[in-house]
Amino acid sequence: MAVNEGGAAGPPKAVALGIPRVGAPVTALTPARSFGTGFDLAPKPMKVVLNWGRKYSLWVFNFGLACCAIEFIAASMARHDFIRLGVIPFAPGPRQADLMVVSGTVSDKMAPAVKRLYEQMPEPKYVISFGACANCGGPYWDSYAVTKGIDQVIPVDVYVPGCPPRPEALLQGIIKLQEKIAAEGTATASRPAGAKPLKTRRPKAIPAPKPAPALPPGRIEPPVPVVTASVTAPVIAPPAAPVRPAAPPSPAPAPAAETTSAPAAPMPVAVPVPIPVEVAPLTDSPLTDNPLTDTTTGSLPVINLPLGESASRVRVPRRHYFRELRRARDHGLSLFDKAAHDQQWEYDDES
Amino acid sequence: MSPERTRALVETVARVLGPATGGTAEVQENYDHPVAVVPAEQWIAALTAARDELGAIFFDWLTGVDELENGYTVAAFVCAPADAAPGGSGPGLARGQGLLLKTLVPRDHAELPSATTVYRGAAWHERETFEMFGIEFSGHPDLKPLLLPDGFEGHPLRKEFILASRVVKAWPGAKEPGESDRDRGRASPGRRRMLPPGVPGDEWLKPLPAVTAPATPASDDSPSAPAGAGEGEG
Repeated sequence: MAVNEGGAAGPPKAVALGIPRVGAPVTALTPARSFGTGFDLAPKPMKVVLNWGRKYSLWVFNFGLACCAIEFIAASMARHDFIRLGVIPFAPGPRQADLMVVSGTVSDKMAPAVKRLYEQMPEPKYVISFGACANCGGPYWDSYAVTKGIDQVIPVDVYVPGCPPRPEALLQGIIKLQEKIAAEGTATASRPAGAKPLKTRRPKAIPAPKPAPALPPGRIEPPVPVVTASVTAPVIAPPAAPVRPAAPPSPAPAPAAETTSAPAAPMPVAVPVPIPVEVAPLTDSPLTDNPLTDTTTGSLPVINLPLGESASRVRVPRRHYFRELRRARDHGLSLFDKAAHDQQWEYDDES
Repeated sequence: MSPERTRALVETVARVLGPATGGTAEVQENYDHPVAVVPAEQWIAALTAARDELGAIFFDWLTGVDELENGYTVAAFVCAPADAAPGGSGPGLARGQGLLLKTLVPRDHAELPSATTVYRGAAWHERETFEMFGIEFSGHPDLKPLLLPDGFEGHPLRKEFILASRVVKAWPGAKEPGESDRDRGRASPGRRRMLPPGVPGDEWLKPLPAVTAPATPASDDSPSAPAGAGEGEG
């Protein structure tokens, strides 16, 4: 049977457009989005602020190709009004746009134009595939001229199903995109697994504990000299066990040496070492109990060191903040009054 | 249009096109419209007579039809514009009346003289018919594909054109009423199974070599003859 010439026998030299190549390696178009070095190095609160600003000022660029574009226009008009979601219609061109909505049937002849206009958009850029045709070819999935989904050409962030979708579906897709934007830049979203960390974080050295409180008189000193080392060093205990008795006298030197050498040695970065800040609840502290009971059982007293409270950061008093706010407000009001006073003569002349 | 007026119009067209094409034009009535079937040699002569003598100065469209063994039908619709001068000299089409001209070109040698010498507006229509059906229009000033993307192979409106997506995914149902995909094995072997154009037949539905490859290790004793045959033909 004579089928499209050269397509049946032998490896074709030029693959006809729009034909899915069976067995070809699937190269996924993953959006490698660049935000700039400043965004990558910014602290997380700043990223939250930047994402917040970005997701509510999406200048949209409508790549309308078929009837789905009518639904897109309906979503932009007064009844559905996606401006209230921060999507601003319409960007003058792709160079001023943040979001491209591909709505309609993409033919193989149109697909290079879609890709070209997508490449003209500035980073970071987002794409919503709107409608069944843009998603997968839709009812024209077996056509000789229709692209089987715009995601074969450009990366797509959100797919909106429907033929055509209602404007509410586009609003839902916009909300989904905004959720995606809001999660950008965090460790789970932007940093792939196994990537080199931006900053080499070392676990903080455990601060030197306060000098041990004076033992109550009448306490019997433990016979092993390791006890003094275990008192000055923090007692490592898993958080699950509230009270862990210290080591008995005979195997005591080995864990004592570990506890003393652990803060001094440089710890590996990647291994999360549980720093025993919270050792035991205060109610279980043996200091509140009678220390003589420990001597009877032969176990050493566990001393809870208030590490968290001692390292509490110094906060700026709140009144300074509001005072600065008030001062800025008064300054702005004075500027406003001055401007109004300067322009008062214009209204005086009219009246 | 009343049947009398239609009959009169058909007679008028036959009276004009008969001498112009050497008596080879067959004019008949089809749904209140005159249809003239002319041989391919008289295609330009019929178009010229329709334009000059019948007053059909407006070229509406031109396209092709795949007639399988008979070749390709090229059809063009020309008409008198609605704002033409009323009551022209001699017999002709009234305002708004049209004429469908058809001709048949053979399948192995699909070539037809270009209508652009008569109607300049036929250029793009012939380019589209050229790329969709593979019909050569000799004398066309710039015969190149119009709508299809660059590098497209084949003529997609030919009925032998196989849609690649249909090769990948099997045809789910049946074409004729009463058929079903369930009686694929039960149907009588003598009856030819009907498939829509573009859907590949059974000769296309051989298993891929990648599919037959895992079956060979299961039967270690038997040689891998089916897999080798499938690869050789594929």
